[in-house]
Amino acid sequence: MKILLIEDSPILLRSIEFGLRKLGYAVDGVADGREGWDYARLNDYDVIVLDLLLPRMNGLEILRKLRAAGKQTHVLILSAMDQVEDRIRGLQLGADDYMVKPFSFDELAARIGTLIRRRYETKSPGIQLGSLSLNTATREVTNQGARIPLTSGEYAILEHLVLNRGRVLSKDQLLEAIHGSDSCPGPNVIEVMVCTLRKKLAAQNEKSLIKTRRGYGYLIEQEPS
Amino acid sequence: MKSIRRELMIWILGGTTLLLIVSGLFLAALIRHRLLTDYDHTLESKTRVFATLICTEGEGMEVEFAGEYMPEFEAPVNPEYFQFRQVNGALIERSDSLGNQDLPFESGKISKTVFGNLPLPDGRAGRFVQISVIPRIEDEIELTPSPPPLATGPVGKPVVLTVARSREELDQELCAVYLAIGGTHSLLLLLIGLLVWRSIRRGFRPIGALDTQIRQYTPDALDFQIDLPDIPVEIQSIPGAINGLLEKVRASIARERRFSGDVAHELRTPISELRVACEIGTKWPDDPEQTGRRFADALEATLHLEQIVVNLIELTRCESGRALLRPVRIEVYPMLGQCWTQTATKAEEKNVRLDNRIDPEFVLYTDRDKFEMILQNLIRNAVTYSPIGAEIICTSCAGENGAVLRLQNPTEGLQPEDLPHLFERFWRKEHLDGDGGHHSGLGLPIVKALADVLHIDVQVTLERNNQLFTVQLSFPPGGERE
Repeated sequence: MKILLIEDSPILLRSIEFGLRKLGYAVDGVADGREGWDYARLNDYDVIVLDLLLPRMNGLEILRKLRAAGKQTHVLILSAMDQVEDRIRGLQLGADDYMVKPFSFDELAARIGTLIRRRYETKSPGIQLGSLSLNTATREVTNQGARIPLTSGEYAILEHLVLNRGRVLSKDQLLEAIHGSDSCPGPNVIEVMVCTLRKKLAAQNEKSLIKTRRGYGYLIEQEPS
Repeated sequence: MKSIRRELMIWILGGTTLLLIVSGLFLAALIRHRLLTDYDHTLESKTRVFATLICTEGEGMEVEFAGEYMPEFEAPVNPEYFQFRQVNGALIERSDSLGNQDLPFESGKISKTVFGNLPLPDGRAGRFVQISVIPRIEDEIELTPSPPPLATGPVGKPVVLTVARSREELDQELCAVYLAIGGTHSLLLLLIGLLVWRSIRRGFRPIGALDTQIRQYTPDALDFQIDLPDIPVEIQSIPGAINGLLEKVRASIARERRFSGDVAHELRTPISELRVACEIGTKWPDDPEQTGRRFADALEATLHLEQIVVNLIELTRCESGRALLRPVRIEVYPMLGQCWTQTATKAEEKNVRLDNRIDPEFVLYTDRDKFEMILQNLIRNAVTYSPIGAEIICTSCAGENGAVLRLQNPTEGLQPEDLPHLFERFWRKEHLDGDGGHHSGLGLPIVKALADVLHIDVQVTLERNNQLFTVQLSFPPGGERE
């Protein structure tokens, strides 16, 4: 899952970026409003976490332009402006959620998870695939109750495939989901991670879950066999 | 409760009543005196005529009274009365109408004409006159207007004549006069009262309207204004003064709310930074590099919080007048250099340079700590808001009218209408700075507050198409070089 974080506080930017990456998200972090707008309009994100008081272009302006351009990306406003009218204004301009500083990182992560589920039209954090259970809130995968230990990258790939099941996702798409736009991972990182993932799932008798479409990418079928 | 209206009514009507009473009494007294004088004159004239009836005949006197010629003295109803006496009071002659009663005898005032009131024998109120006359000698008729002093001898012995009659007619006239005066004055008082009441009511209408509007004011009605057309000149200044005061109060409340909101707002970001850094560090403590990073972030956030709090305390101290001043001799050139050194790191990051053109001989006599804080804030501000590669220029000049210190730096995005806001706490120019940078928006307010304490005038200007920002500090004569 790919997140754009637009926050001008260097400390918050560093801390939130680190935390979200630890949770398996691919994060693009920018500290400038204008740069944030450029990132938002040129890339496809699952969620944009948006501060309001930004240099060069404020957050509400970015939101307004985003919606005017027809972008439906979920936006979570993260701001020190706590008045009711500020929240109403933000929500009316098209934000999906509004959090006031200071905030709990865990709550931020939970709300981001909710928005991502909403994007993929699933209300429940739990997704069942045969005997396999994937919990997007706790970021855990279990097979009949037994936890399958996955790295954050492996979980991110599996989650992306599960939420887009029935669709073929290219390597680039999977790469974006686990790394930010500015990162430069090696060319085979997806194959390696999918291979590792398959091994771990095979150990739980789920080896045929991830299908390969040569020349296109990978998918998990709607009704796994 | 005191009432101007009531006071005016009381004083005007009370005063008018008093005046009417006094004038009425005076008028009544005047008329009474006039009527009485006329009455007495008539009575005296009649008495003198009557006095000619007594004459001296040999050794005795005779009163040639004939009732048919003076029927009033023998009238059965409302008669008049007379009595002749010797000067020693011995009776000579009296009217029958007296009966058993005698008329008064003023023995001590024989030589004078005496008037007085008395109850008549028939019970009516009466008035008498007593005169002394010298009886004519038989066959001589002499009217003596004022009898000479008592004398005997060739002109004859004087006698005392007292005539009395009813004064009811006089009293009735007087009563009518009193009633007329009283009635007229009462009516006047009533009319004056009505006039005064209407005049006061009309005159107080604008004040009543003002009072009505002011009563509608509630502390929550922040946009309340007094609007009164056709204000009389006597209270013309009041609505304007009240509206001006309310405007100041509104502005002050708005400023206080903004300040409270701003303080809370400004503290939220560093607190968020501290919280998230600690949360992340707690959640993933196994990465030593990241843990170190989180601690460094927490420290930075804490220092930012400390800076805000220290700045606020300093501002409060300056504005409350509790700042202690210790004026000393200050060489400004090296002080500026020291302040620059403290900002050197940030300046290097942006390749911003300082051109210190202050005269090395330029000295000031002022509080060192506070002036240094002014310079630090100005330098920090200039470095923060100068574009990359800019040059900050500091100059000085001194003369008879005092000294001036100028700090100039290039800037972008600032407009002339922003200049009045620069000294407002926590104000920051949108698009120049967000809320996450560690610029609290207190730098220039602190400069202003400290400058006020040190009696330094601070002015800010924009030149060269709003691209050159200048802060000018003007020192009063005597505060500059020795």
